[in-house]
Amino acid sequence: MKIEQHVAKWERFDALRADFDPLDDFEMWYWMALSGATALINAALHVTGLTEENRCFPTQVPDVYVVMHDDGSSSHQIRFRCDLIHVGLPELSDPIPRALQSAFAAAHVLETYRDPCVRADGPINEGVVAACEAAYQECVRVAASVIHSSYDGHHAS
Amino acid sequence: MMGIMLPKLHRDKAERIEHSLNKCSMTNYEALIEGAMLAGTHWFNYAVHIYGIAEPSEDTMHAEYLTGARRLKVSLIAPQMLAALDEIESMRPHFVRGDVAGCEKVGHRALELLNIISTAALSARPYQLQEQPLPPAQEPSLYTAHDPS
Repeated sequence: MKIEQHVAKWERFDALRADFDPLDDFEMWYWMALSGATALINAALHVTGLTEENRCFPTQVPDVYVVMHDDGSSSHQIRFRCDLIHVGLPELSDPIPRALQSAFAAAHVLETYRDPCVRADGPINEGVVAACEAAYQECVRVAASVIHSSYDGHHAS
Repeated sequence: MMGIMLPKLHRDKAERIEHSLNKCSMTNYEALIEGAMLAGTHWFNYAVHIYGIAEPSEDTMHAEYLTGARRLKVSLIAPQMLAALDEIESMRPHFVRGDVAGCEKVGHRALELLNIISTAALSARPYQLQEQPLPPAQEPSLYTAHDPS
């Protein structure tokens, strides 16, 4: 997607988080955080030039994208340097810019709770919520800083 | 390392996520699609374990990750459930990860598909114990009989 669309998606996901109780609705609260963090990281990666702004949308299969055509139709294609599904999926061939490294590290922390707590029946408690919240806020802070400082007129704060 | 999810745990998780989705308005289509995917996948895993298609240690995380053999088997035993999960996954690139404008209709459709999956899952029983043979899949014949004429 384009940078401004990623930021708009983050705004939607962030607002949706507020609808969910972090403990009672952990799975959805978490998934909105994960989706929002990924959206902002994708925007920041476009700002750094590591990936490209385009209308190639990730499927669940790395490097396979739904590519939108001008007539509104779409097709599956193999593409590179496009939006990530999650951090590390697909892996980027270039090093992560220093300015984004802590966002990636925080996103990886957030990802560690996905399988045990959402896909399986791992413990969901205040400690888990706090760890996820901290990781999410770090992703947002760092990615937003990159977007704001480098892309004129676009910011997420 | 994740523990093994027994069928009841998948059902509990699915129902928990469905309960959370009740807090979403229909305009929150991204949340509804993602929730339908998460809950639908739990229902899907519940069903394939009950059907006897897969062991509890062989969970599916996404419909795209089904092996060819398992996909074929599910398509014969629970075709509507598989089609519904496939459709939910197909919505995600356009409406969740992409910029295609969604609307209430999209949110409604996600919940309809989730309902199809949960309904199929709750009626699942071991396929090898079913009294009636399963209806044949509608597919082209793999072999064409040789016509001597």
